[in-house]
Amino acid sequence: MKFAFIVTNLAGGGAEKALLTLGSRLAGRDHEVHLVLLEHHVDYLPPAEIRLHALTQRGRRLLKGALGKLIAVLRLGRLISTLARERAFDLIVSTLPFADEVAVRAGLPRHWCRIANTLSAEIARLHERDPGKGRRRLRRYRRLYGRGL
Amino acid sequence: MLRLEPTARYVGIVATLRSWKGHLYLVDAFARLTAADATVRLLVIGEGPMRPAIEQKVAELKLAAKVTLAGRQDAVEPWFQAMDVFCLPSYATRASRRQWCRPCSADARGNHAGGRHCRGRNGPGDCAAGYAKGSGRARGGDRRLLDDPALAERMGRAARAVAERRFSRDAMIARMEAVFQGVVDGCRASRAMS
Repeated sequence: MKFAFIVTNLAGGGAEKALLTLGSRLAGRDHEVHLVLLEHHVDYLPPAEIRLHALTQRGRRLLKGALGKLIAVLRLGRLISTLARERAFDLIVSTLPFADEVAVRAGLPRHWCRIANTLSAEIARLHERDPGKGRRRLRRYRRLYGRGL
Repeated sequence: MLRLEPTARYVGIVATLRSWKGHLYLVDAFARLTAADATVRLLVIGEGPMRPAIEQKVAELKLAAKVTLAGRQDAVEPWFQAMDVFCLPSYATRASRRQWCRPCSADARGNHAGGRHCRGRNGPGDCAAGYAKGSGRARGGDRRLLDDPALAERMGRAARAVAERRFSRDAMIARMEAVFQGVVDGCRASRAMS
């Protein structure tokens, strides 16, 4: 199978590290694995068998805010189209909410979000400190992941 | 070389330093533990934006001599092996399941793709090394394991057996591959039907 994994960056989190292990092992089982970073910030060096792509130049961060998100959406759509020119991806998997949102807005085919955290716990925690922020976060996650949450 | 004290007993955490991982709970719990037992030490493995807050709390509680913030480590296995008790008081990984969701649809679904942490038969409260939310519970869990080496040994062996059976890298990758294959097959089937 041909996979693309999308993550914001490789800046030292457990989800990112797990993704590298997963990608490396899948490549070892004769799958084609692409890893797309929304920004080129790499603390964990990806193994050679994973094909690494980034939407920004080496060491450059994405712009903050809505403009940065829009740029990422456009670049991601273009990159995935280019990479899928010879052979389409069987599966595109994004992980963590920012990357999920960018990938959803890019309208990628066969895209699934991998939800790494317990979202209800995060929202309950936010709600304790700032109910308005908790409600906004819940609405955002429902938009992203569906109303079944 | 980890440069640890050979006679000390270590409670530890391996996690990115983010608020939802619960490091501050653990430092609070550790302060109470160490007040009753001077041989206990705390290992914090990982890096992240919460470091200043953790350092501040450690300083406020006068624990600097007993807490090691080792930063990000490429090889975490020796650190795990050095710990007498592993504690993850995270509130964001409360369930031992990874959730998957197709965007923009109502069919959110869960797949057991491999929780890494020991959970007790009666839920988190039953497992001293599991998800102890709040410093009181974390301290209670850590205390039980430190005071009862037989319990720690029993739980450690049970956790190892589960880990070897279900959570070896090969076993987890095989299950993930099966999940992916199922999704791809499902997509193909729905395309064929439409």
